[in-house]
Amino acid sequence: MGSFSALYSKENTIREKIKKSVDKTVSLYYYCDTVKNELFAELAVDFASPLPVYEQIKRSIKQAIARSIISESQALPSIRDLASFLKINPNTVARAYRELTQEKIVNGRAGVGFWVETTERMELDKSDLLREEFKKFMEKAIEMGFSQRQIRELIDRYFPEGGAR
Amino acid sequence: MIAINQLTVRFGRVRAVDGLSATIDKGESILLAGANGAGKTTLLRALAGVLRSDHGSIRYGGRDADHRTRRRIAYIAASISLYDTMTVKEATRLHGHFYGRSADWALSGPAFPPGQRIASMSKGEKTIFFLSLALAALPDYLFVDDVVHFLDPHLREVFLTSILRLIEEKQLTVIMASQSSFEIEGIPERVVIMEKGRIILDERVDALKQKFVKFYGTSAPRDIPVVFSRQWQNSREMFVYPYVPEVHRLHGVEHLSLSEILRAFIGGEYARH
Repeated sequence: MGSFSALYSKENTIREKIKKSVDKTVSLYYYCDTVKNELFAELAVDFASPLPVYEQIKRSIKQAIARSIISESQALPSIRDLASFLKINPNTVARAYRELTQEKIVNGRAGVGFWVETTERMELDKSDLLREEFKKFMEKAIEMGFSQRQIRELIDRYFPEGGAR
Repeated sequence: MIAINQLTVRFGRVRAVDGLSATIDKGESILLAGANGAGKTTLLRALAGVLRSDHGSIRYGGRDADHRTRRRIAYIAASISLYDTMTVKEATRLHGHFYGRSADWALSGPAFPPGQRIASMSKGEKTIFFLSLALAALPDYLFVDDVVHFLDPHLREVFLTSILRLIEEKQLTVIMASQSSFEIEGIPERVVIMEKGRIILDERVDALKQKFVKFYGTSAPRDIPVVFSRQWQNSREMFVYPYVPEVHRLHGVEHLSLSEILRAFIGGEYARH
């Protein structure tokens, strides 16, 4: 009986712990979704990658624009917010924003804020981004030993019968 | 700006820092890497003014180190015994008095009971407490020894966030010594690798990632600067630095992450090269 009640209280502590961690996760998502914007959820930095961090940020912002997660004239997170969210040096974020500004994709100034200037140019880059992702996919598929026909089939299955889309 | 000129610190016959020169701009964040005994801690202690140099000079913003520049320097040592007999309240008051600023705001993170003895804190708690004291003085320069691994994930986040805030708001100059880069990887923009009291590499992180490549081969072509190589199964891994465009005619050229680059440079084969 004694061991049962010990087990019971242990279970309760575990339940309490799980509840706490779930609450934390939920509040994080809430933060991503509403207080800031969806873009936060899209931006991640991979330190194991050979790509410079500022380059990774540039890419994910471009991808977010290409995928319409963020639209024209919409504000980007402030340098401070993004730096503390990703735990990276604010100068790195500033550099990414500066270069995006030079590429005329983003406009703004440190201290004032940055926003998406135009999505038009992104239309041109979209195919580049797709090609890049596609190349990664193909390399993996070939590595795994899929044949040309199998890969074609897989792609065709994504489109309705007749393939006119 | 910090200007280090021909700095030498000797312990008996050993030159822990050996004629080292470097310039660090205001607002820069530097990762100081190197094998055990490379001289990282000695350099930080000399920068913090804890150790006297045997030769050479360190100037802060064009001034020699005096009591005024010392007030603008914060140093987080890996082994801290200072204040051990005091309570949290006493240490905070003493520190605030010395720096002329109240340290009461401390950190948003853990609040220590004012009556707690410093001696009773764990290594991680001491680290975060001393960081809070140090940052409360709003320093211009922060030197951090290899302490991040003492901190649990939550305290590590508190630690990094507080430093990032001061980098952004006050253009804090940060030098952090670390064995591994992954815990603090987002912070440094420049990496300095030491070996036997000297700097063997000093690069911006982004540039280094572009300039350092690896390929597989049997022998190193003459026009490719292979810094060192090691046997890997049936072939040799060759590490090239600095990058030359000719490397691309070779087989399997790869760029590497910062931690892989550091691993290649620190200790072992590169040091013997």
